[in-house]
Amino acid sequence: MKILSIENLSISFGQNDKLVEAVKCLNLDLNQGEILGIVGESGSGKSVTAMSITRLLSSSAQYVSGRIQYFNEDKTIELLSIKENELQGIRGRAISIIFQEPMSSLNPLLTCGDQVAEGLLAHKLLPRNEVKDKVLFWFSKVGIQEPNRVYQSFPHQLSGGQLQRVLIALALCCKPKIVIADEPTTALDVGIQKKILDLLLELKKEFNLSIIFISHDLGVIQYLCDRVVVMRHGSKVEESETSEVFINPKQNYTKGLIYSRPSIKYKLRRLPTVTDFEKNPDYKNWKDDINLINSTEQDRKNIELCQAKILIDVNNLKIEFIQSRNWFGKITKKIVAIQQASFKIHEGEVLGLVGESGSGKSSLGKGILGLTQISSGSVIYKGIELTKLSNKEWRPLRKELQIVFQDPYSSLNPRKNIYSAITEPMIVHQIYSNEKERKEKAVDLLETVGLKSEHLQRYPHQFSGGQRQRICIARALALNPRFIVCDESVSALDVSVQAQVLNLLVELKSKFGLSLLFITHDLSVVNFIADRIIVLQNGTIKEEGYPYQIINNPKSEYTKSLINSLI
Amino acid sequence: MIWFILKKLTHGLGSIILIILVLSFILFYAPIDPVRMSFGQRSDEETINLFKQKYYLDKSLGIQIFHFFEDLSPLQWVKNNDLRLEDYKKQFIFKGEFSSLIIKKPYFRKSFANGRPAWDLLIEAFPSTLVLAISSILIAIILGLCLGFIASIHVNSIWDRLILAFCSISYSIPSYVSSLLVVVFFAYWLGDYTGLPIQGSLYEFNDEGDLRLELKNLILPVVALGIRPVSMIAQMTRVSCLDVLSSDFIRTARSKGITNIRLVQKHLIPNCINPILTTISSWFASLLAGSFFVEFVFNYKGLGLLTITSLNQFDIPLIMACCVMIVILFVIVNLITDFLYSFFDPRIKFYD
Repeated sequence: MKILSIENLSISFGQNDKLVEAVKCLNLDLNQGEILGIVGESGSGKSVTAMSITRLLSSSAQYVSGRIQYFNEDKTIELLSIKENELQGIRGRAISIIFQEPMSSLNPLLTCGDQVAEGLLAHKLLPRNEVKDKVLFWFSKVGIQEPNRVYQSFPHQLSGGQLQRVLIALALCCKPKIVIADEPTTALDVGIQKKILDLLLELKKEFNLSIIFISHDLGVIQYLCDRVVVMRHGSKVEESETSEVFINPKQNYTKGLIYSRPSIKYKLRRLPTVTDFEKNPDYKNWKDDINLINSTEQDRKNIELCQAKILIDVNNLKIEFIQSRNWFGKITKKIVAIQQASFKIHEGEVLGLVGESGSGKSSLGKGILGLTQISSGSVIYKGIELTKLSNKEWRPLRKELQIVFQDPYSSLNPRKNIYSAITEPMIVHQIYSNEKERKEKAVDLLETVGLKSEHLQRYPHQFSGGQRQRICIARALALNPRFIVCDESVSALDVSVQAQVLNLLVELKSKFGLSLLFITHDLSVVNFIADRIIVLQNGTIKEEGYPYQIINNPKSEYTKSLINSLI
Repeated sequence: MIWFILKKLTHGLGSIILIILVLSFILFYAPIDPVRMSFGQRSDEETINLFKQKYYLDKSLGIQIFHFFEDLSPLQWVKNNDLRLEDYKKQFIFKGEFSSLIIKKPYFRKSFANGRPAWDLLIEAFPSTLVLAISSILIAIILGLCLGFIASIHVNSIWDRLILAFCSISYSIPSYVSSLLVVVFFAYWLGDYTGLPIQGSLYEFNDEGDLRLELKNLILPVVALGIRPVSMIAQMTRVSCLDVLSSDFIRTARSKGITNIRLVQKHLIPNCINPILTTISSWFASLLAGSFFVEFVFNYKGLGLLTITSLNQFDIPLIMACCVMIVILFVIVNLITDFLYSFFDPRIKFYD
């Protein structure tokens, strides 16, 4: 039985002369009691579609056409044309939304309890004096340990996971028929993600909800949804039962999306990408023996790497951050970010550093490169003690040790074109004698990372996220480094782009004989790229070993829980 | 919390000491003769010497500053034959044969120009300024919030453009120009209709010689003073409202199905209040400290006019007193603002 139907929905943003079509002629149906997954990469129009259902799009020049119908027992309600005050009766009561960013989606000035109670009060579902009990009931229903404390807490006093639970309680408290979940787990750590998804499944069964679940993560969709709609550039690419989509995807784009995700089950030489499938629809050999790295080869390679020279030797590294100082500038409170970390990186090796947010993995990467103050311990690179170097002594070493940051949007200067972004480090280190050689090298680098020479004169805003991350990699490579720290370099990217960038890194590694420290929270990514893995928790190294060792039989409890929470 | 207040007060005390040091330095090296300022040309040698001795004017800068601080300190060990002793409002704690310990009201000396205690002059002028500052800031707050709110709700519409235009024009007019414009328009050209005076203070002597409250003297100075804060507050309100309106939690609130009135009341206004509060408090402090030009133009006898007069006459005790008063006002307003911040926003803990 249909409960919601979207017909010919088109949405565009912008001014008259510059219209951007976010959604094009979309048709969708949601059945009673089903979880419909909408999957797509950033800019595919999935969130816009979801927000348009209860007309919550931002008011900046939008044009919506088509119809959205909500079938309520015997009545049919046209959501796009009813009056605003009638819509207020539907929002939260019949159709509610679980939002993406738990940290910013709650009013910082009101207690969590009041914000949930507000919904109940708005729909006048029960007398005022019973509202608090109802809210507490829902808080315990969504698995909040201390409902009373959370009721009185302000959002900044709670963790991301708790806030997400508050948001779920907020969406469910009026017993809506339809729940729209807009990437509810994207901002959370993997450990919490699975718990939240399980909670959603449970609640769905208990209250017979119909859910529209939006995500960019196919794993999550596969785990949760009955039916999947794949969207790209504002239109529907494929729609089918979940099992059908994952076993037998029909469209090349869907195939690309599904197979380009690295897995912890096998190790590939090269990840298949969306372009592979688009160029060659029958591209099937991505998982054949040539592309798959088997265990004997893996062992051989590991022995080779062990015998290679040690490039970086980290000993008992300790990093602390100052939290407060007294009036005389004396330190009164410190936070330990990294405690007694010791490890080695061999030449030509990729060391994966895995940990949840706040585990200190970025601090460790920056500490090695001297970008963060180190409290004690040593970092030895080719016999040179890095921690005691002055800025001046560092300078010649900077060209051998490089970093690629997490966010490709903020790590390029928006006022400099790509040419000067790439050649600036060359000029600083006087690598090439003249402009011509530098330009040749820059063109060469751009082609290495899969961009074209005509891109040189463009500015960062003219590129997509994936392209920018390639530019950042090209910039890091400009100095012919020996060692690169990749600090969550692929986390901000869409799956298909992530596969391209990962392939590129693997290629470059073998081409230039680079060593990498690859920092990430994603075990499957690290399984694809790393030769060895370090697991970090709260600033201490919990485990170290080869990927298959760690994934198949983890020794520490923490690693076990990390692997179990993978979907 | 008590520590926070103490910390703020210590900072304030530091500023006062710094101001006094800098001012003493400037006034000591400025080509002024305080003696000539107070006695004029006709005065005998003996009076002058007594005067110099009393205020240590013949001593070096360091000693002069030391004695000035001594005057300000509430506790003092003083010689019994000290000439200043008679001016202090004091209580003896310990009375010795040659010197004694006294507790006293901080003493700002007597105005050189008219011989009255400088602090008394200040206290007399202050209520007029207080009334002027409070009424202009109140009007500025009411008008500014309304205008800014209207502009943010109808963003990019004709109303928004008009309000923005008004704000940028009125903000770029300095207060001495705007007060002159106000006078010319309302008191001169339209004077017959409005009946408003060109100049005048809050308290004026009437024909019988009584001091009378003249509220209509307040109107034009308030208009002239309020116009810039209005535009500042309006712009700030507009910007922070727009900022809050685009935030995620407003969307969450709308998704709950609450009414627009509640949305504005509970989610919009509390969240945009802090930046507006900053603007209001800094304007209020500077209005309190003396709206020099406006008071001068309207001949409105308040703190600003007093400061200008004292500077004109090189009335050193009065200059000092005015400056200390201004610092004290700033410290108080800042303290109150800090409390209000944490009152509106639970994330701000002022006693950290």
